[in-house]
Amino acid sequence: MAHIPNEILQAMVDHAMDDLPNEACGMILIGRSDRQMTVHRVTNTAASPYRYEMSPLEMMKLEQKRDSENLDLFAIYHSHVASAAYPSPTDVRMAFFPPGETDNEPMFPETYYVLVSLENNKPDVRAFHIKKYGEISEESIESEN
Amino acid sequence: MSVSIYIPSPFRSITGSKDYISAVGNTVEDILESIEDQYPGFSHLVFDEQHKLPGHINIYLNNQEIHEIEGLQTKVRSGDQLAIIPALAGGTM
Repeated sequence: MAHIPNEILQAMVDHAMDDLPNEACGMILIGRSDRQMTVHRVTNTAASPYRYEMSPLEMMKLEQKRDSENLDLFAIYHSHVASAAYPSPTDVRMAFFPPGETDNEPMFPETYYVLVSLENNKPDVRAFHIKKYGEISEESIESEN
Repeated sequence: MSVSIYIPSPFRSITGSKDYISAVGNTVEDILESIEDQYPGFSHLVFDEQHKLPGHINIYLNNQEIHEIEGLQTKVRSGDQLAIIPALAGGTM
């Protein structure tokens, strides 16, 4: 089960709405000691309604922040503007390195992949783990105030 | 020329969990070869079967993408910082 504060869920939905018509993407970092979460928007360099590519430079800076501030990568999120909040085959393929080599461990095995769907009037947010061999495991979200 | 290289978390299994390593060379390609000498298997992560950089590998020299400079032949200076970053991507299609 993924425990995610309401304000964090709302921040991801807000980002998805702000970046329409394109997909939005970002990361949620969490303090190792205080478990405080922060949402970090990352530029989608693909600028596409169908695809996201996180800015490598922004990713690097966030990873350096994680290293220096004792944070973990809690979740990687992105939006689907017109489809369900479920990992696409591309999402699964790109969770591995090299891409598609699902016999390897995924790049971020402990990290949630959060999908924000804007397919319907009410946004839908769901969380998953992507595991070896491309297995998708949905984790229920428990929202907290 | 000694260069500092930032290693992202998905590649740290190769470097024994080190986030920064150093290597010597005159060009980015030299540096990558030097890393392979220190950490065998590294090249397999970075290059494709034709020994070219695939699209899912991004290399930055002092925060500038190397394809905006001279690619693998980009010259390096002592104290430069190199970062090798795998793409994080996906989407509906």
